[in-house]
Amino acid sequence: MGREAAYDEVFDGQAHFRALLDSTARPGALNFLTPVQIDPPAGLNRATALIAFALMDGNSNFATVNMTQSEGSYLAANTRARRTEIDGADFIFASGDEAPEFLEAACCGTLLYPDTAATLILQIQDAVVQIQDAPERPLTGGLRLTLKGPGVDGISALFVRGIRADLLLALQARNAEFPLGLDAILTFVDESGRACLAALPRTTHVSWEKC
Amino acid sequence: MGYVAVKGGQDAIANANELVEYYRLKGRTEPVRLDQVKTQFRLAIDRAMGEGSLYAPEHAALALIQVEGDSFEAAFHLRAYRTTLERRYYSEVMNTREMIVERRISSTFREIPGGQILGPTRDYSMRLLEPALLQQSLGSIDTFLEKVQGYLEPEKLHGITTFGKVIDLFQAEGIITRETQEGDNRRVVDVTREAIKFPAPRSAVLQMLARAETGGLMCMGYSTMRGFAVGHGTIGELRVGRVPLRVVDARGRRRYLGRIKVTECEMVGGAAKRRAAKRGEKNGRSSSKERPTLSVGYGLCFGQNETKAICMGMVDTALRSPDPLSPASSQEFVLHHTECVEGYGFTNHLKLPHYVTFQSELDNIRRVVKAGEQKPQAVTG
Repeated sequence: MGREAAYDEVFDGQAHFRALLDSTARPGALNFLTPVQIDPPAGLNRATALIAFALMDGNSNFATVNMTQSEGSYLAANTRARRTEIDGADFIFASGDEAPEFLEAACCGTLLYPDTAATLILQIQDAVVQIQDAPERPLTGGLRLTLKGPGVDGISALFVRGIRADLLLALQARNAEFPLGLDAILTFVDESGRACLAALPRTTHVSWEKC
Repeated sequence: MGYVAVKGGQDAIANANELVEYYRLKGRTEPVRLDQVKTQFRLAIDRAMGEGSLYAPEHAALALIQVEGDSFEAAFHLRAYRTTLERRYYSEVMNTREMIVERRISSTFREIPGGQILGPTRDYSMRLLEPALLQQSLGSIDTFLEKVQGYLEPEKLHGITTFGKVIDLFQAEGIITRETQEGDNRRVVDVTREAIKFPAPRSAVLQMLARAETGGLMCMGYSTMRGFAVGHGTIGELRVGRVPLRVVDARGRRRYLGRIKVTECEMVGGAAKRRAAKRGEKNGRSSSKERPTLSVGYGLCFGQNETKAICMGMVDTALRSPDPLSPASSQEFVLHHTECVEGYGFTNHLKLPHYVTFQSELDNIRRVVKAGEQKPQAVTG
């Protein structure tokens, strides 16, 4: 799998990192990644690939969950990061539809060094932020996430399709003992082709209901 | 009179940044060129590279120009820059026996293989200010260079390139051993990539010391000589020169990268106590069957910075002989407090607003004072 020529490690990386920073500081906030012409293999959406490019370099490890060889090779070729098992990975790429068992192996850091925890990149189908007190449900057939915690003014709501409730439950269990835990980034490409992301840092308390 | 928070916003910060640049330039002299700093401020650059943990003379020269020669800031700028770089390779273990020596001395023996070579040093100068420098011109510099270059005997230039090490003599005689302390052979950590944990393995200790602040390290090293640790070591060998660096690339081929200049020092100390201690013998004495050995402390840093390499050697010795009365033999004390960016950063953070924490301290004191004033009244009333 070849290297993406159109991607600029400095300027695109900075812009995308900024978007990720904003989403992490305001859990549940959707951000668009400035468009870059890239062509990742079928198992990766463009937002996932761009976040991987922004965060990883030759000093990082990553693991993919139930993806083919080509996804891993693509990420390795474009970031120089090394592919490894889930328990040793700094970054874990998975689908929101994945069964939650893989989370048990993920590294949640240590009390002295919680920063060594893994970052989870979960590919979802789509997501919509609920505008304050809007009566209608913007998405159906997914989950309505209610978010509380640092960076959220009161509560915020995010409608998400393509994420399993038992995966959220497992994530909640792994985040029970702060500062240990996993920071999750949700990625998808919306219907107009924009690469989007939202973040659920380990500090965010998430509850959900079907909608 | 209460304390009032001083308001300072982005405008004030932008103005301060501009003003410090104005102060750098307000003398309206010719800008200092990078090549001038690189060639004429060699030792300042070596120090900045060592403390900045980045072997990059041009970047160090730029940093020194930019920060008006402040060694802490220069190191800070280089460290900040190096954090943006990816570590693509680890070099093979450098062998200083391959060093092309510019200077090497030993205080343990007068006669050493290859001889003592004083090389470029100010150790034997009178430390008198030299007003004649003010009259120097390119012409007078050329005359001087020609004179010195005239001493060279071209046919001998390639005669000797490397020298055996003094430490090898000790080892051949069995006065020092290759024996390592427990934990020395744990995996080699990279302190630039992972936070240091205590007790730190020797690889982490030496890496931290190699990029420690020179003055801080001298303070620790000096304290060991003045009686706060094992004692006064002797310089087995101090050498300055350029050593080849090699990496193994992704395809497994060995690649020569070039040479870097380093200062290396082996401090030879009194009888090594650790063997006895390790074997749990009484009174710290070794058994009669066991040969006594000398301890060796190792120092290595970028460029020519002999004070730092010597102090690193002394501190390495102290760290390997734990002693509760010696600050320099406490890993945490030495490694945290000689770390230039951490120490400099934490000291300077004091200049940032602490209005809230200070206000709470003040509130507490006022509450206590008020309570004290009210009490007698309560009794009399």
